[in-house]
Amino acid sequence: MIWDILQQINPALIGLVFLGATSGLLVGSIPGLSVTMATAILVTVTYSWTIENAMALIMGLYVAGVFSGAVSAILINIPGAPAAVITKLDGFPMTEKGEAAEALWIATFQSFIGSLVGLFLLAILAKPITNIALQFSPLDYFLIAVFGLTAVGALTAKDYTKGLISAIIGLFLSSIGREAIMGTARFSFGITNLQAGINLIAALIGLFGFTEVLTQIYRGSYSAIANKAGKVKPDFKGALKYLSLSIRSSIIGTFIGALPGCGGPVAALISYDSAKKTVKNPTRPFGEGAEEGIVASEAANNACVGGALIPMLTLGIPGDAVTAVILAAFLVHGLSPGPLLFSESPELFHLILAGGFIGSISMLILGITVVPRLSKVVLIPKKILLPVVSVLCVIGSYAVNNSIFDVLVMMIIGFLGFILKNYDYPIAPIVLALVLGDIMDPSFRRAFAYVPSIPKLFLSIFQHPISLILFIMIVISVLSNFKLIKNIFAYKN
Amino acid sequence: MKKLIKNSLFVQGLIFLIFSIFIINRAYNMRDFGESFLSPGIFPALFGGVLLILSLNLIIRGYKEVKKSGKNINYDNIDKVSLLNVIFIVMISLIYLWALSYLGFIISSIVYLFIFMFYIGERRIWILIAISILTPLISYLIFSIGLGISLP
Repeated sequence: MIWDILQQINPALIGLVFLGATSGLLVGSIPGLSVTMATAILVTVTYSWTIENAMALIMGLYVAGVFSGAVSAILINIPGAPAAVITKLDGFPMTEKGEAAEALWIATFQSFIGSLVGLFLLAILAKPITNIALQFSPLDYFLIAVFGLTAVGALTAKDYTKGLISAIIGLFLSSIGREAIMGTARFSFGITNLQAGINLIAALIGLFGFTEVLTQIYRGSYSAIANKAGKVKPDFKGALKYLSLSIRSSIIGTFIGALPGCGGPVAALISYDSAKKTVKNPTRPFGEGAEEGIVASEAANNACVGGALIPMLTLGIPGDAVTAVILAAFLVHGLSPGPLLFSESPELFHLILAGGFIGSISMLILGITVVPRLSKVVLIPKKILLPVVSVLCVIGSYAVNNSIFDVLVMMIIGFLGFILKNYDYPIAPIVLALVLGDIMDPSFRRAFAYVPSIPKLFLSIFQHPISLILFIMIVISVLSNFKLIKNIFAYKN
Repeated sequence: MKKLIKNSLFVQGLIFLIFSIFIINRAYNMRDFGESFLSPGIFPALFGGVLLILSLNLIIRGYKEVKKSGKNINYDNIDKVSLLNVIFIVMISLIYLWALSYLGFIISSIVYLFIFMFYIGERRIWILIAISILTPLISYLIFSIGLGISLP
């Protein structure tokens, strides 16, 4: 296997992957742009290229692009990608304390570790993991999505009820438009543009971009953050002290990424929640600049790169939005990812792995050399930055579908996010629920179709090991946020 | 009763209660609701029901707060001036959105950026002009010409 991968490496591959990584870093770190959009553009740009060159460029962009969402999340509290939603919880507080360079280094190195682990696991576990994922019933998909939302308690340190309400708002937004099974238009109120549903990228930009702009306007503080971003000083020894947490988070990320539709945000959330519960003495409390928070989030969401490629390459089912676009690239070049890929085009699988590994190294180099230059954006006064970010939000939300309506949605949802944030309703659960709603709804209804009575559906949880494990995780997640249980544990300690 | 209405948690709970009833009602009227488990109304009814329970939780907490605080009323301190600033920015953003379709991206953005920066306190005229003009031009060069992305 290693020799097969090494055989794919040549100067052209290295050059294309590095070019893709640079592009991914620039695109992903600008709020308002997305790696998905950049990948989609690359598919059309590389249409006339060979599949090998196209994949090299796309893999570089994918690996670095997932990481680069953390750059803007850390520097200006606006995640550049959904997967960086969790990173900002501790990344931005570190920036506010003048530790932007340290936060960026941790994010860079842990993303590197996460990518390596994810790709390594992709190489050796593609087939076995696919077998487990194939056993997931619709009920299991529903339960893991429920677990993702109940774990939102990890994000709502103040009020669990408000966190769950935020998640419900996200589910409502996800249910707008034509649903997948019967094609019925829900909550569209006769508006034609709403029948396609709420565009996820526009909602993301609204909730994190425009909401942040309005929040800063409300606070009235327009001076630059007094932050010495400085050079990133690679501290490998310091970074390696988190190795066990990195690897654990990377394994979580890989497995979650292997579940179609889950992706970076869910992986980062579950990993963060796990770290919060298991790390005894974090550098700071989680949510206030804990380095472990960035470790858990970044290792998991970059490990998702390898994980998300598993179902895409082996089943032809995309693991997340970017792999859905990569799948399109395969089809455009006349190839069909699936079980036959390994037998008919094994060299392509090895090339993708080679591209991923080189992309990880490129990301590390760029993270040390280029990213600190990007940190200068923090020193720009907000009087200039906020209006420019608003324009970028307009560009980003328009570019997805060339639709002014999406820009309107972005602004409305941004204003809604501002109001909710003002009353201590967290924003991240809304985004997570927007993503998970598309999994939960059809899975829930299909689960019911198989076992058409509620008591039997509940009993079936105990008959299926995967369902039972997920159900127990949900119960623990919910109960651990009740005051009574917290008091019991506090008393015992 | 007046104290309850002024209690923030109680009002929030009430708003979400009404919203949950709306969702459940709409779900109930969707096709095949109650007849088929594949009905599109099943899932909205589920999360609408959960929202109803959560909103009742907020209402009860709000009630307990009022009862506990006695004569003290829990006001949310909203800075009205700051809120007006936000509303102004939202209004000019909506006007900007409207102008995009008629004036195009570059002209609309120049005007929008100028007004936005001026309103939040930037007074250096050379910065106002430079950023207002350069941002849309550079964006146009990168996105429209460089990446082939259509701008409004």
